[in-house]
Amino acid sequence: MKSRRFKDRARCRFCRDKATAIDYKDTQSLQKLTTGQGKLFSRKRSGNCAKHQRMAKAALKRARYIALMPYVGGQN
Amino acid sequence: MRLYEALFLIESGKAATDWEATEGALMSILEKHGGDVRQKAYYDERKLAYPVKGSRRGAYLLVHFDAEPTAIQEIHGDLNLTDAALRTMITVIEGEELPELKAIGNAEPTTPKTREQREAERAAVEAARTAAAAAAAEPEKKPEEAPVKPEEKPQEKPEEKKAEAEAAPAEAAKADEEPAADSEKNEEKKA
Repeated sequence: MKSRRFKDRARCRFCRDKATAIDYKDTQSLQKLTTGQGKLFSRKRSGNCAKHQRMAKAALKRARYIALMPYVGGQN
Repeated sequence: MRLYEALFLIESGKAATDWEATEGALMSILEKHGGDVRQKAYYDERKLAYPVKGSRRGAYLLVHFDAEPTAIQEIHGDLNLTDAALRTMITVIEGEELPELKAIGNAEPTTPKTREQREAERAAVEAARTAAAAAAAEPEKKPEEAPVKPEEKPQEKPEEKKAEAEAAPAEAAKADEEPAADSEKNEEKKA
């Protein structure tokens, strides 16, 4: 049987903060969700739940459009 | 009415030289379609993730405004006709509460410099430059004039004092540059 403490801690970092939205202007947290090439990490890698992974996807796409995050390649 | 957030990407050259006109053009578009601007924030020029229309650097203007949902499409249409902003992102803010202004990357929200501030800065830079040039010219003259001075002293004194008073800050500014210049000369000699 798993310990209760382990069970209580959510795997998704946004669920832990009870986030209702992911801000596309928050480049620091988006950077943690992307590879060096600027690709979004898989849910397996980032640990996001399905709901927050969708939010992260939308936020990253907005950030890319407004040139806060790269479409391809790192920030040179 | 709904609360919206608009983020404008502004060319760095425009942000530096023609800020008032650029901001005015964007605000007038929002207001033309019944937008009620509630807060504004300026994010200083930064390097973009990729070049946009040839611009490698850009500044951001964040605006929270109330508008009718039908107005947003018209605002987008008008924004496409102006070249005030390189790109625009308008998003819906859920709820009535104004979100607090946060940093974008390393850039904290600030108020843009006014035209007077920019001109004052430019004047200060130019003054420093001319002062440095004057200070550079002076040490060369001094040794030549020194032998003549003792006889003419009583007449020249007031003028000299003024000149010295003006040169003093300039020399202080120059003090930083001189050692570097000397070291360069030394290196040249060595070579």
